[in-house]
Amino acid sequence: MQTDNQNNWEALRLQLEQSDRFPGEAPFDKAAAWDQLNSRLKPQSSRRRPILYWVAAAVLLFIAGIGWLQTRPTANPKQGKIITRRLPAPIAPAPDFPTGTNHTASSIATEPVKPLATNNEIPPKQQHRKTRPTPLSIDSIALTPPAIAAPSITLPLLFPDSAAPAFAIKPATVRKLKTIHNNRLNSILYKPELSVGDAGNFAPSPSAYFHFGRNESDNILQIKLPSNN
Amino acid sequence: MQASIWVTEAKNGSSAAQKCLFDLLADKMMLVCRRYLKSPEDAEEVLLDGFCQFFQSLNQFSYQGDAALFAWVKRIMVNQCLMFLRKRAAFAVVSETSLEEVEVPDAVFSSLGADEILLMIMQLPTGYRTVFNLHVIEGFSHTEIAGMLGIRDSSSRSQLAKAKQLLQKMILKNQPGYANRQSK
Repeated sequence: MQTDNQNNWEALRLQLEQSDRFPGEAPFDKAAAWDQLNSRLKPQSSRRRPILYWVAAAVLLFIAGIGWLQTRPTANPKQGKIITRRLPAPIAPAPDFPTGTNHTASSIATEPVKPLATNNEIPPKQQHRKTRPTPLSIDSIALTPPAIAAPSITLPLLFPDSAAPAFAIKPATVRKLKTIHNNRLNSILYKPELSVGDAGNFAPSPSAYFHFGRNESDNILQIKLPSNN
Repeated sequence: MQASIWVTEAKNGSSAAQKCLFDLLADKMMLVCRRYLKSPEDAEEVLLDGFCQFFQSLNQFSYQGDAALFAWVKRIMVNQCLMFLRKRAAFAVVSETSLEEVEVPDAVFSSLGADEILLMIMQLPTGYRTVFNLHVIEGFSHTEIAGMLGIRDSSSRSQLAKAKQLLQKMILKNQPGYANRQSK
C-alpha cells in the first residue's frame, strides 16, 4: 500500500514537470519581464565604473599633490636651513687671532660679508680657494674683536623677515675732540702780527691763517697754524 | 548545445545571450515560482530576482548539459521563493497530531491531469504546500527541508503528511464518478 502511494506521488510529480504554464492563466509577458530584468542588470554593470573613476581620480590627485609639494617654490630658499645664533658679548682682542688668514682685522671688519654659511648655496671649492685662501665664516666674524675703531658697519641683511641678524656689527664709536677753551682758542688761532711801523693797525697779517681739518683716522680736529706761532 | 554557447556568451556579458537564456528558461521557472507563491505578481517579482542572481553568479557555473543548467536555475528560483516566503512569515507549522490516513486508488491519480493537480496544490496552505513541493516535486529530504525552512525534521514530516491528506481529500472530492461509485 505504501509503495502504491509512492508510485502515485511519483506519477503526480512527472505530470507536474510536463506542464509548461500555470493552468487558467495567460502566459506572462516575457518581453516586459525581460525589459525589467535588463534594466536591473544594466545599472549593476555601470555601478562599478564610477568607483573606478573615483579611484583613478584619487590616485591622480595624490600624485599631483606629491609633485606639487616637491616642486613648490619657497618664499626665501636660503632662509629655511640657516641656523642663526646670537653673538657673544664683545670680548677683548683675541690674543691668538687666526693665523692662517691673510686678512687683517680691519679688512675683515670692513669687508662685506657674503652669506657663505647657507646650506643651499655653497660655492665650489676650487673657486673659493682662488679668491679666498681661508673661508670666512660667521663664527670668525663673531669672534673678531670690535675694538678697532671703525665706522659703523652693518652687514647686509640676508634674511629680512627673520629674526635680527646675529652678525650685524655696529660698534659704539665715540668721537672725542680736544676741548679748548674759547679764550685759549683766540689766543692760539688768532695772534696778530704787528709790525713796528704800523702801530695801531690791527689787521691780521695775510700770512696768518688757520685751517680746520679732520683726521679721518683718529677723529681729532687738526688745526694748522702758521709756522711762526 | 545552443545553451552552452549562450552561457559562454552571457558570462562575457552579452545581453543577447542573456535574453536567449531567459527565453529558454522563463516559462519553466515561472511555473516553479507559481507552485510556491499564490500571487502571480509575487511569482514574477521572484522570477526576476532569481534571474538577476543567476546572471550575476553565472561565472561560478560550468555548463555540463541542459539538465544541469535547468537544475541549477531551478535551485536558485526555489531559494528565492523560500526567501520571499520567509520575509512574509508565511510558514504555519502545524502541531504534530495523529493523521487520518485517506486511501486514494491509483486510478484516481492516473485520471488526474497536471493542471488539476496544480490547482489542488495551490489550494493547500502555504506551509503544507511548501513542504509538499520541496519533498514530492523537488525531491529534497526532510533534513534538507528542515534546514532550508528552519524547522525540525519532525515538523517537516508532519507538514508533508498533512499536505498529502488534504490533497487526497481534494482529489476524492473532485472525482464525482469515483464518489458516486463509492456511494453505490
